[in-house]
Amino acid sequence: MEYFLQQLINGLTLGSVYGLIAIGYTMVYGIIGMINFAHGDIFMVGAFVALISFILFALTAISLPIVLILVLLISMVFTACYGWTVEKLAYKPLRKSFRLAPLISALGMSIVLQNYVQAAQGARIKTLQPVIQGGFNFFKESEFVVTLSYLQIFIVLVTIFLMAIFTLLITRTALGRAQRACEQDRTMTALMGINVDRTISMTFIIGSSLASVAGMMFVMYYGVIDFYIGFLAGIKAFTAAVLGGIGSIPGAMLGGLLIGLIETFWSGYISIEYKDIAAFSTLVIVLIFFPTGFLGKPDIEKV
Amino acid sequence: MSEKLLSVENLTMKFGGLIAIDDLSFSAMKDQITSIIGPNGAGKTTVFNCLTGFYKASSGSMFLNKDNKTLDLKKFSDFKVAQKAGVARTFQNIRLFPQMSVLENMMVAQHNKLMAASGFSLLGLINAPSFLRKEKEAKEISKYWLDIINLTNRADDNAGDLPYGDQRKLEIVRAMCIEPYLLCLDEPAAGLNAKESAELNKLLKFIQKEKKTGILLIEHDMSVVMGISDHVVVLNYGKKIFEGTAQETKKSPEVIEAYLGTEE
Repeated sequence: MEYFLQQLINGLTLGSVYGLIAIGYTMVYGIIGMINFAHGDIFMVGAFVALISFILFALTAISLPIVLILVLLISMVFTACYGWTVEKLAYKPLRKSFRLAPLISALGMSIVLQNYVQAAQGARIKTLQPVIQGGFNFFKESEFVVTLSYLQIFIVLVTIFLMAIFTLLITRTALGRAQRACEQDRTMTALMGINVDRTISMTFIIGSSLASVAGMMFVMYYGVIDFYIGFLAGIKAFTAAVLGGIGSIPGAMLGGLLIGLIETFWSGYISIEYKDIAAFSTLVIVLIFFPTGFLGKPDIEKV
Repeated sequence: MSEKLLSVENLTMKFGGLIAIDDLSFSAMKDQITSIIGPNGAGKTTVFNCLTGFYKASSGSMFLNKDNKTLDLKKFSDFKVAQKAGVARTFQNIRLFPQMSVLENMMVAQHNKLMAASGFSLLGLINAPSFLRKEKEAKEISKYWLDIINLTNRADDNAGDLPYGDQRKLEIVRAMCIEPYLLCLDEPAAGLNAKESAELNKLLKFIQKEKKTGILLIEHDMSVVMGISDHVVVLNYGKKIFEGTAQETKKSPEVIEAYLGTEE
């Protein structure tokens, strides 16, 4: 029981990180029908920006809560710029091209970003001292002590907060409405006087800033990053997006949590070596029974 | 005599060797309904595509008179056609946002003013009063139009679930939410039954009279064309073969020959 609870806590934390990245995949897919394979690397860039800012702020005497907020904002802004630039350079010129062109371009961008960070920051792993320490301990008298660290609480709370804001943005604001309109009919959206290119750019900006928050959480949680983390995390988040139903935003959140939970429970109870296989096999099994993912809408062709 | 809204001068559109529009000149007056009719393939929709920036005309010019300023429509493309030039259009097939509610379809068309009022979304997130006020105004405008086409009680249903005739009307009032100077309607009566086309006539007349919006209409349904047009332009093989009032058009031998046909 105690062991289960601990895995649940760990899984939810990891799931939050995946969920935040998965939203970027699902939004971009929704609006331009393309899998942005560079998104995982945007997450990695976010992690690096957060790491660098943490190290810089460590030299100052600013108190911890303010540092956290500042790092969050800095990594969101910087990473959003990266996301925006990637879209402008690699996808926008190909918008009218055939469907696979931006996909190939995305793979290229992914390699570019990895090598850029490798060249700029070095190939060795980078470490960060724990920023938030301590936590609550439960079941102290039993043999397995369950720990809920402050960091885990922080990660889950920030994730919930951002997802709430994000949901409001999509459902309540004019921008969200324009994004949903673009998903359905880009030509008609432009004829309504809406700048479609700008709406797409905004999608990349929002997706990238959410990924950067995931990157910040990642570097705080694991304390170790290198230029290659974007690959596996990106693929996992993509799996999460597909699991939840690609194009569906609640689906991405749900998929992220599920992948996080599956991965932790598998490593907790079965074997840690095969945790990635567990996550990806789940996807295969789910897609057999729900071809559009859990919350995805099937394409209905009206005859 | 009302003032001139749109003047098309010597418009030519070539696709390789095919001349889709051949030296076409006509004009449309403010608060009038101008119909473009002609057989299939006469180039009617191509005219719309040139006007709304989908095609770049091979030669010729199109000017829109907007608040005493003359705009060269050739310079507008993509979203600027609606936003800057004030030209709205609908398509032959229905292009609503089927998975958004009826109300949301109307709100999307009012995006630009809402976006400005929401401070590019930031104020919208915190529900700032200035944004809520604009949002409320936009809803009022939507309700106003939905009342006219009797769809107020279905405002929260998905647009894709409406009956065909209602979707057609929704598309027209949605275009009106852009507050256009010129409304281009491509076969709005296609697929409507007699009762529905009569309602359409009423709606278009209302827009013309109350909103002082110029309407450019492509239509095959002669009950609509002859019932409401102030001015008719007849095309055949990309050339204008006749221009005049509805009554004159009905009697014109060239039009009867090329398009209307004779009654037995």
